Amino acid sequence: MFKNYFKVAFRNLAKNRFFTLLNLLGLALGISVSLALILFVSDELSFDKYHTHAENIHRVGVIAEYDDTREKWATAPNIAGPTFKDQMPEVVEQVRFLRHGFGETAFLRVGEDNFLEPDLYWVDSTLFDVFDISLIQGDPQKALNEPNEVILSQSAAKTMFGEADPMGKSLFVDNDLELQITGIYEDFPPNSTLDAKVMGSFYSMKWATERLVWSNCSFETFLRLHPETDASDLDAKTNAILQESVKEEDRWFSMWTQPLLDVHLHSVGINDVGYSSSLGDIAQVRILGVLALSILLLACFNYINMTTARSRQRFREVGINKTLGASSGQMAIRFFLETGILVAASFIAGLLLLRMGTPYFESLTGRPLMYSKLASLPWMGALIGLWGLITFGAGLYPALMLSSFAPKNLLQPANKGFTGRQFFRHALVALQFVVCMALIVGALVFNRQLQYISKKKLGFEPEQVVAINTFAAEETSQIEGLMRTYESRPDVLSLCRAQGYPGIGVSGYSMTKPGQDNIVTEVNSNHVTPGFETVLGLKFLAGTTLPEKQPEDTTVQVVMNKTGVEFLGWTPEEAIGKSPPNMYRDPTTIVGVVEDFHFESLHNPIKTYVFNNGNNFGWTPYLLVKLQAADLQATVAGLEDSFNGHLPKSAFELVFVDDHTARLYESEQRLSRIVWIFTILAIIISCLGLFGLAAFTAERRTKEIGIRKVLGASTEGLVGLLAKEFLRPVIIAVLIASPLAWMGMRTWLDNFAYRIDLNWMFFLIAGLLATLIAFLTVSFQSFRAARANPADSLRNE
Amino acid sequence: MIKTNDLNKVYQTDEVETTALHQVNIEIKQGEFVSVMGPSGCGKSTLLNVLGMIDGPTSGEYLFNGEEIGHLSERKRSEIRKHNLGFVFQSFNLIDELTVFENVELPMLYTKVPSGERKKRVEELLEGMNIMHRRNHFPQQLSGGQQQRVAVARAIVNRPKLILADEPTGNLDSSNGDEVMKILSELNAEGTTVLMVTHSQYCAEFGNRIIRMLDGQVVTENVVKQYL
Repeated sequence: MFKNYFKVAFRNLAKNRFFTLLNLLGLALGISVSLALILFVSDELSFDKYHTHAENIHRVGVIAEYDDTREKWATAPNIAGPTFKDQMPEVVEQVRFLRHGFGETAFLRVGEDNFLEPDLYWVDSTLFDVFDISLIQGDPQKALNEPNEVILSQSAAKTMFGEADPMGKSLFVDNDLELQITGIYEDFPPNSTLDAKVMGSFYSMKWATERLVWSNCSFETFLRLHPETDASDLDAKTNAILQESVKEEDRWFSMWTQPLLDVHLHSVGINDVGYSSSLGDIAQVRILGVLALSILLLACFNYINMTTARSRQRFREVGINKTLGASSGQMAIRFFLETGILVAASFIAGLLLLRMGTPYFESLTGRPLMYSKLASLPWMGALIGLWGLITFGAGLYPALMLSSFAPKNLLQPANKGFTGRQFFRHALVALQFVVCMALIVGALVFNRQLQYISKKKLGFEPEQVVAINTFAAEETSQIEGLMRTYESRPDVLSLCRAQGYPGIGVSGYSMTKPGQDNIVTEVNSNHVTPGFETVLGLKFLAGTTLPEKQPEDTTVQVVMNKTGVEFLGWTPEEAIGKSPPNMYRDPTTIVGVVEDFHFESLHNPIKTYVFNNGNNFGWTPYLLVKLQAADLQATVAGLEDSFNGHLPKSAFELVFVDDHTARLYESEQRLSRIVWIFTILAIIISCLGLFGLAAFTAERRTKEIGIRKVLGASTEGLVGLLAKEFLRPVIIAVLIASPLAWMGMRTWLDNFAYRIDLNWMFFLIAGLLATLIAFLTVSFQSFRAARANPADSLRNE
Repeated sequence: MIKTNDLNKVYQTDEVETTALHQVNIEIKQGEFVSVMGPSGCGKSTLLNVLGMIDGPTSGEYLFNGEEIGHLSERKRSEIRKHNLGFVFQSFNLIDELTVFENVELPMLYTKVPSGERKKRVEELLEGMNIMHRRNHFPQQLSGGQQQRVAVARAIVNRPKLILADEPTGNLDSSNGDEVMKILSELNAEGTTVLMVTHSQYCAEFGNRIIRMLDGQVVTENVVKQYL
């Protein structure tokens, strides 16, 4: 019996090649895109699960509360981990990570070779008791037990030592600290939050080891709990210990904990987001999941539509079979089988498409696509499950509808209830276009907002400004010499030394309103040398720049932005010469006020920012240089040469400030690109379906078209007549999708402090575009039908 | 074999009610060849549908081999149908995607006849109908007469007790039509009961009896030949 079913199914698919091809294309596209996204989403969900104790590891952070803001930090005091381990019996072990230089790139020197390493951490020796880190060389019981020991990842070892054995050799950090290599560990897998390439022993940082305090929350801390521990009261317990240990007036934060398995996807919005460079976003994962499902549904709708559209042809077959004794169930199985065969073929085509599109998808998501996983047994099972699900989803309605045909109608072939089915098909077309329209609006709004960001005046001029890291200089005189060399270059306009630059964090302080000590605001403080205003192109509203500093001067002069002065309740002019209350310990005077500028991404509103010259704020690792270069490449090469001449034991690290600012929107740009791709795919899939339906309608109405032509109808009139049938559901879709898209986009734009207005033009353009695309798709078939010779079409009937 | 008592069939749509069969009382005995004639719309095909158990009556009794089946469920009717009845249609109603062999074999798949037996029966029938050489062809590759012979072969492959034929020669030229009528007569001669709807007086006279219908009612019954 099944042999017969297979035979008929294959022959049916082969006979209707056009519809089979359209369905195959639609389903294959849908399947390949969905599989790519399912792989991506499953990879995101698998983060950190490979650790044996993954479910029992929790990260400890603090919640800082000041003014009316409440910020979650991913880091904790260095005393927290050891204290919790001592006082909480459920804590088996703790491990602390300190990022080198609080996130600065480390300069590593091996012999005469210099290396830049952004991922150097100082880590407790208990690391191996908490996480699964496999040492290829070295002993986990000893590797990080003493000061000045370091372990390297396999790839870092290869970069620094090539094929030579690094064990026992020396490594210099920032030309200062000498470390001995005591272990080599396997690189972390791609789905690991831990991303350290080099890990030094925590004991190497004497200040962090010996002085355990509650006031410095810079340490990412993980606790490993007993497996049977109920972690729901972990926050309460850690806070109870905090309250016992720190007096209320000194307690500016509370504790919070986060399961390790939540760290990757649930850390958006957490300040100082811990140390990982590979953080995901559950919202983005959800959006991608919904998009994958939508694309798959669109492809299934196509199949349902095209199969039921040809129901007249199939009814005859069902009628004959039933007359000869087939039951409805047997017929339904037959149609399911046909769907199953087509879906299986689409899977093969989809997998091929996925294989071809993998490099593109990887560049789109910025992560490797684990295509090879599909060959594993669980994934094979999942693929078969998905095949069954799609077969069931796409085949259910056609199978039930077609198999329900009563054989009595066979002898009276006029099908009743046809309008109802046509309504159903139009409803599915409308649903497809709801998705398309919403995606078109999304793509337009994303694009416009990102354009707005890139063109918005930032309040400073980041073009041709470079930041050169001089962190590893042995002597200040080296930096001064380098500055003199740079100043003499014709392609250097101006330069200064600075603690940071717009786009990266600087020091955090606070100040209060004059006379109102309880009203506090956050202050971003950047220690700079004069000349910063020319380098960054800042506009002065009042006062002057910072004066040259004399060594004996104990006051701090500051240049403040407009927002800061407004908080203090002064005009720019009034602010000059005054002191911002409760900001620094040293006496502070405002000497200048500059126009506001965006030193963070446009997600955040502008806050108070000051440039200071205090002698006690001596840390200025960056050299900011404003260039006027015709040949940027040559200029950068010249800068590097001079750098290597003055700082021979440092590696040259240069960042273009405008590139860095643009990277703040990387995640949005990626999402925008993905939405564009999805929009195009959704439109293609929907149009394939519409194209098939239009072909069917043109075929069904051949006789009507012939008669109308004989009676004098024009080709344009006939195209309009046929197109109208499909434009109605598309227009209804536009009306349904508009408010939905409006709500979705409103929510997305709320993430930006500075955003475009969501006006009706987006919806008008998207609506017109959707309608035009639908019209063009339908017109092709309509035009062909309308141009046909009526004599032929009437004879065909 | 067949007996109906006051059989009625009414089609109901939103606006109109059409009486297709009205108080039909007929009886067909095992081995008879009965022709049904009448103008278009008189209820011939409806009668064939009801007697062929592919549609139920609105009211009245339908006894098949003494069992009341008019109001049985579709599933039960289908069960009786596939073991007892064979159908021949005016438009042949062969399945385009199946070959001649597969079309004839199809009813036996539903009655679960073993594969070897199926092959034997199909080949015998195709030989008998003189279309064995076309066994691997698809319906579109055959002439009308050949298609109808295949349809007849399919109708009798399960050895039904009753063959229902709906204008079996309607789409055929006279020589092919004669051929089909000859086959039906031979089957009847071998003991199969035949009920045939036709417009053609010539074809109708192949039967033992002619039932004439008008407006859903049986108006006359004529005996053509003495039933043996």
